[in-house]
Amino acid sequence: MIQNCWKIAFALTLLGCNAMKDVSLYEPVSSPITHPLDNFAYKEIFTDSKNSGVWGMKTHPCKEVYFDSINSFIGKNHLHIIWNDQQKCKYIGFGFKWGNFKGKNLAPLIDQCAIEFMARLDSGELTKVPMFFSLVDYAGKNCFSKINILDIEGGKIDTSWTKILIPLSTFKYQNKGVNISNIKELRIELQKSGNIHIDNMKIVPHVHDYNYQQSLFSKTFNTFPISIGNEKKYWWGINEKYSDNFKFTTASTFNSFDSNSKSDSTTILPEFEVSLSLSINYTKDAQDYKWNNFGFPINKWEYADFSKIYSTSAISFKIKADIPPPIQVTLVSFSGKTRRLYKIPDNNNYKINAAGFYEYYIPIKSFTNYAKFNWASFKEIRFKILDSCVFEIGDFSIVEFRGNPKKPIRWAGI
Amino acid sequence: MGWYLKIKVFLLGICFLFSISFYAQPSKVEIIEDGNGYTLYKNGLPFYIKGAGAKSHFQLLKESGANSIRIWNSNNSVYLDSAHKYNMSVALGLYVRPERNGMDYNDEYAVKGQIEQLKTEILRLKDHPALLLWGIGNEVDLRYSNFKVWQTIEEIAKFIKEVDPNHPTMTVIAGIDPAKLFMIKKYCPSIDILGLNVYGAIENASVNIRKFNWTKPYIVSEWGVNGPFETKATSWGAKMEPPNGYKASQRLRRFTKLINTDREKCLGSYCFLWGQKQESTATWHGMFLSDGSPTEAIDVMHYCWKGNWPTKRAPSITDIHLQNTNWKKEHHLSADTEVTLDIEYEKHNNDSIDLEIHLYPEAFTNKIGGDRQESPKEIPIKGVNKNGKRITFYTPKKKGAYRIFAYAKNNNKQCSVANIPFLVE
Repeated sequence: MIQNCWKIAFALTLLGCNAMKDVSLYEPVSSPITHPLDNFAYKEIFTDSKNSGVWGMKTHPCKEVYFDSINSFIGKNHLHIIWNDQQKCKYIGFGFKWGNFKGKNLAPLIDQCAIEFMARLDSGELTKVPMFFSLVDYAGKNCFSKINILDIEGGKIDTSWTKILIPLSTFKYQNKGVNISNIKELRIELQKSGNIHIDNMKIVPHVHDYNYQQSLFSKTFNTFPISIGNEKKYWWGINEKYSDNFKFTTASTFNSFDSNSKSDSTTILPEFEVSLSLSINYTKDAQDYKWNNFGFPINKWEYADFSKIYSTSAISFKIKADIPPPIQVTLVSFSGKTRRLYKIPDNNNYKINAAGFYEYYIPIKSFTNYAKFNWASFKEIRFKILDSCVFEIGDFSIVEFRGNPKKPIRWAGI
Repeated sequence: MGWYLKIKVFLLGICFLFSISFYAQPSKVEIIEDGNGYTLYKNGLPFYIKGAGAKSHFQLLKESGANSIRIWNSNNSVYLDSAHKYNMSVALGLYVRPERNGMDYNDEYAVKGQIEQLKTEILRLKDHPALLLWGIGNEVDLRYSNFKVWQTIEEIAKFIKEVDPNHPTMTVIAGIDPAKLFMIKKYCPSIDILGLNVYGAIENASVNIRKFNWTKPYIVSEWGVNGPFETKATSWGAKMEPPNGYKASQRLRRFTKLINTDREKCLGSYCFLWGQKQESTATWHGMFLSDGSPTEAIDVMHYCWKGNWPTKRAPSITDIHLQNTNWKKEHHLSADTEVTLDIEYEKHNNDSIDLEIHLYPEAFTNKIGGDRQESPKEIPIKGVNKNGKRITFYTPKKKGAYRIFAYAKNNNKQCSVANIPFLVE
């Protein structure tokens, strides 16, 4: 019997050992997850005239703001705001004393909270209200937001109380230099005209589920050579329905005289319909004399950033003609005060490769005011035909150039 | 009530209901391309737009021969009702907030909110009987940098295609540029018509639209005289506004020689502005004065639309000189000095013309496009003396930039205006 008891005890001990778990020295103590709003003392902005302070309630020709006790959402009354900017008042607005103007730190709340309030109309319905919400810091700086239809419950405000949210993150306080950790008050600025009841304004937890995506419409160019004007679909100025002054030439003559031509369509851009050159036959007295210019973008009509290389660049192209044609080259930027740079090439800008074949180099530095041009938003190159002429032009590129801008063809590098 | 009367009341009721339902029918507007180009059809009939940017004076507009108005936003549908009352159609603008007014097209919340907001406007107004076409955005390209705005334009146009098969879509740009046209072609396939706001740029608009590969039709959505942004300024930054007579000739030539001649791609035009607004001056683009008096520009549009002049014509100021120097030159004057203003004008068929002058401080502004500008307050003038076409007055005592306006009016309140900026030193 005693032997059996020992056996049972031993078996139980073994079983107990099997059930043992690893125990760390300090077990973490589980605690409830807190929301930053839990520690914020100024959640209420407006409930009624008894519990909340409002300034700017004095009636004037453009505005009437008063406590309305009929059909409030909460408390003994709510705000009824009627305004009309017909009198051209300098400022139409009012504000909430919000915690009796104590400095409020909204930094912990900014991405996780919203201003929530209820609104209704006397009649009709609205999807937008010309009122702007402004957070004002103790330096007097303010940042704005407004009602967005996406945060109007049900997508419209009508005669029933409707919940509206203004996410705090939409105030973009950084752009305005507002000290978000020391906010004095909330103001509402009014524009045009309106008539609305609002009540129960407070800070609530909120997930603002929208992104801010930087646009990507720019390409930076750092290396040479840069082949340009290769895709017909980006060109302008060529439309044979209205003028035959300019025609794309698919079988270019340039390859025949330059075996190192960089514009071999089959290797550069085989997927596109590529033209190597443009055939020009222009008569300035003809009916279609206005069809005297054409152009193409540097980067598919988006921004081309040449800011790092423009000063060591030259525009290069080839021309086949009996004599060098009278042309003007224009560089165009998307933005900046100086948006266009002009240059009429002269005999310093070309060298003769073979009879009737001219190779042009126009250094960027030879364009007047080139330093004032916004090279980060380089847009296009334009060519204008200045007089009657016949020629073929093509093989456009931007190449490295470190010589004298006034005498480009003397530089050994080309 | 006898049976005869009952039947009569019943039939009248049917007629009334029928007329109500007919009234409420939206127009069916289509663009049809044939061998000669594009034509706009409204309810099965060709409709060439003879329009104006207008929010008032609809009766005179109709009488002058217009058949359409353009408005820039959908905030006030009363304009649609008014246009319908005068049997005119409406190119209805959907206000797409431009980047220059603070819109950030990288901000998904703002972008989606704007689109949803405009969808409610489209659903609210798509069946209005005066609606001719939708104008999605006005000059959103003016000084913009973020091409994403075209995605917003497309999303709105695409929504219109889904919910409103009756009205074409247009987007309106400021001037013509190959990059903008490429972007619209690439990002906005649901746009049917290009709207062109062209002032000085109207001179080559029909050629450039072809050069820049726009293959669909276009409407000259705003046109008129060269804008302040295209005009010479004085050394102190005051724009030199041509007299009304000069502007009237320019308007007439632009309509008859440039707009009306391109029937292949151009579906019509909206002149700017059938009303009054401050844009550098109070009289630059507006065809009316702030008191509602019509200027000679109204007569020009009457001629453009109807092919004849109105019975009673406004006078026309053709030139104006201050101290014997005309409006194209700078005027530096001494303070509190008597100066002369000579006003050259055509009387047309008026017996007598009354001349008036008014003085204002120069209204400097950095606003662009159609952005709202504040009007300056009039300054009393000392020592005004009229002698035929010459008026003398005293310059202000205070140094500064001013502008003197001269008005030639007939007894029908029709008028012509000219002004000269001057600097008191």
